[in-house]
Amino acid sequence: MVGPSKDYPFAPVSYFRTQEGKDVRVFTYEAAGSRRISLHLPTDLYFWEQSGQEIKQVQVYSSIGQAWRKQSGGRSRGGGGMGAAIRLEEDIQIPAEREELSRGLWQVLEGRALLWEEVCFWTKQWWGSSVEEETLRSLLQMMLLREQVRMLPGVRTPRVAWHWQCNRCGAAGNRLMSTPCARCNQFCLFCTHCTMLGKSRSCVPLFLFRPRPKENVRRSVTMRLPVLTGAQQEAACQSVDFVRNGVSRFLLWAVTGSGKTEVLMPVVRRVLERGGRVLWAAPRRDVVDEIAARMERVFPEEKPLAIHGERSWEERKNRLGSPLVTATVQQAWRFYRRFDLVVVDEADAYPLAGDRTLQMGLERATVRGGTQCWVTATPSPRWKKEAVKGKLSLVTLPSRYHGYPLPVPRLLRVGGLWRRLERGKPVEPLSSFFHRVLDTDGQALIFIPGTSDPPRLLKWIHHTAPDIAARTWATATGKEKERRDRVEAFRKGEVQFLIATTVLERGVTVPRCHVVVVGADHPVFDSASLIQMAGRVGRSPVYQKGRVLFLADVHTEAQKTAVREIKELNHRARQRGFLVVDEEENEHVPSE
Amino acid sequence: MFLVSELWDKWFRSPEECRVCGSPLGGGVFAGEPHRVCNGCLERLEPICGGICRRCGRPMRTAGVCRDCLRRSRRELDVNRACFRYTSFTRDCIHFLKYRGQETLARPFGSFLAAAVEEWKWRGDLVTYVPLHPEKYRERGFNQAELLAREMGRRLWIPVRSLLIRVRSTSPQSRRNRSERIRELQGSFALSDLGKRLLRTNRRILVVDDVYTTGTTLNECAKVLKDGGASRVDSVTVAR
Repeated sequence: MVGPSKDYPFAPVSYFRTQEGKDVRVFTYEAAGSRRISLHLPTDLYFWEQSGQEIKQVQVYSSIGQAWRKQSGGRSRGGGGMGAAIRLEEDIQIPAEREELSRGLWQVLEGRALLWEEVCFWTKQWWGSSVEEETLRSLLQMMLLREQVRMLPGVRTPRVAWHWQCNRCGAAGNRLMSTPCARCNQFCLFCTHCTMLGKSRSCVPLFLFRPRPKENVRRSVTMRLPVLTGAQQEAACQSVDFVRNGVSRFLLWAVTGSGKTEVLMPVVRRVLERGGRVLWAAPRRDVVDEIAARMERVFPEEKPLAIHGERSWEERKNRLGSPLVTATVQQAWRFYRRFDLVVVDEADAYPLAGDRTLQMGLERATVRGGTQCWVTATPSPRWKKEAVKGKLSLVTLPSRYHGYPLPVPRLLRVGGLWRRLERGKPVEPLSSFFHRVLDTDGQALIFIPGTSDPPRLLKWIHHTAPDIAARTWATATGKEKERRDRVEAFRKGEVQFLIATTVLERGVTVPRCHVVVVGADHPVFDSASLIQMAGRVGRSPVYQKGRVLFLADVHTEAQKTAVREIKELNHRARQRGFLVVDEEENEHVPSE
Repeated sequence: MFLVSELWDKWFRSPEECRVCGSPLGGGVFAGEPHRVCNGCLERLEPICGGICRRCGRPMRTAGVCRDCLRRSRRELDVNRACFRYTSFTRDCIHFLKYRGQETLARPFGSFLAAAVEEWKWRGDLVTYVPLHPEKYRERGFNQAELLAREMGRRLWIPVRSLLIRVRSTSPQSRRNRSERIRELQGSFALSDLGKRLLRTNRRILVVDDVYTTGTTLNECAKVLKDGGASRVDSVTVAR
């Protein structure tokens, strides 16, 4: 939650200030048979006068939340919430240049979901100088009347408290907090879930800018991509078909190290060629950086944009309109029906799995009739079941890009593993594994269940195998500050043995890797994470000596499932003839 | 199956979350507030322990008075105490509370302040906080020092009153050097109406703020309070 953030540097915006010193002004009125909300009454008067209608029952509120409640038919709560009736002025003039400005504003902000502060910030950035608040309100009101934008309170508070919900991220229940607010001088609700992107509260309006109608254009997009393998091509063709047929959601099940990013590039290209926009959402910042760098290489002319909390505004400034966006999943909350294709990378990984608010954000960022592509190496059982039943379209990519099969983990039982380690007794499989790493001149990732385990393991190694302990060792667990540096050192080869918890199960790729999971029967290792860990091995075609070893007291369901699934995928790849170098499966298990 | 697990989660709540980083936390339902922050966060916040300057609470190798305090000639503030070192993580936390508006953080930090005051064995009559200029208060929507003070006062059973107001708006202190800070802040605080009524002689007052850097803000507050009749003014801050 807490972390360094260079996200929007909100300059304190003069917030809805008026001459009389009232803080927030939102009006409601009745026209053409319905109650409407207004930010700038003169604009409404002008608009309805043009169409020969009359405005009745104008009331003023200090908070958008109350005005919205009034509009949606609920009773407003007391304390000035009833809204004071005000008198209207006569003859209003709307300057002609506002037309131009509003068109410009829509062009910049289309397909975005922004809070009032963010809108102020964007306009300030876009026009260089700050626009007067009065003008901005008038522009937004004009867009509201033409239905180019929807305006909602940041947190919706209908009469029934059960239905209270953050309109931006969809969080509800105990994630909303009621506090006294100096802006609207009442108690209002704010969402503690998406505060990192700016505070969404019930007295602050949230604007959902509709996308502009799209012209039917075709343009050529240059793509620099290495030649795809047979398996990749097949998967790419299937994916393109799904996008062409307008499938709303499909799953790309691609094994670790299969080159799934490359597979989706032709799909991205197809969408770009038809004037569409693409969002590539990944769960973590380092993944976003990596994908963005790849995008840069593949589509150099599209000027892809990368967004996450540590990228400052200055870095993104020149590419805001780019049709190709890579971002963390949380950033999807800032978009509204903007992207024709949304690729969700590692869709089963930590923040996404089981978080409905993030899924809602991705859903909302996709245009109606657009496609979402969920990419994963380890789909959850539920997805697999849905795919079997035909509820979920599925593309499988069962083989790696180099055509070697996935390394099959070897399960070994060692009775009283941790006790042996603690007492410094020999654990034969572990020491022979280490020696094998040394013999084959490789690097090893040693996965352990908890953050408190590395010292125990290190002590055991010092005690039993001083020659291995003399090599370079490092630990990388979730809580350590130097994790990033250590992982970087491991990538460069400066560290030969890295002890890690499940935080490193994805994303670390070194060419000469071996993996051992010590205590694989621990409940933190589910089958998905075991498959991911095993997938660290054998990524490079020139080094296939890597081994995967699961050490545990007992064989758990997770371990067995992991092995079964890996074998099954290898079998499928073999059946479809994707394995270039088809060795016997047993070849991969050292015969000792 | 899905439904059952969901209902299970609803009825038997999952373990508490760390109040700072949101990661799941052991600890029972009845754990005290300081125990609802995970060990990793506590470590990164770097609580001040061991030798401190006995005037400003700065962590030092040996107890005594630090150089800054010795250099300062006119000192209205008697004693300051702080909970954490002002490291990058602490700064991130405070900025998250202050500028991003994550008001939930006031709860753990308020309780840390309470623990610090308890440990210090401070005895007094009133707790107050560093005020914001009305304009800035409206922009931000809340006063972080007030939230911290209220949480702390609630836990310590000491009344929290708004004794001060800010009469002049100043640009942020963090962009100035020492002498500029002192000059800029002179005369920017005054007693509120409530303060004028409540302050009599022999009142001992504790001022709450988020960060103590050079102590100029708190010293200025102390000056106003002492001019109004307080006999002793101390302060407590989250970071030092």
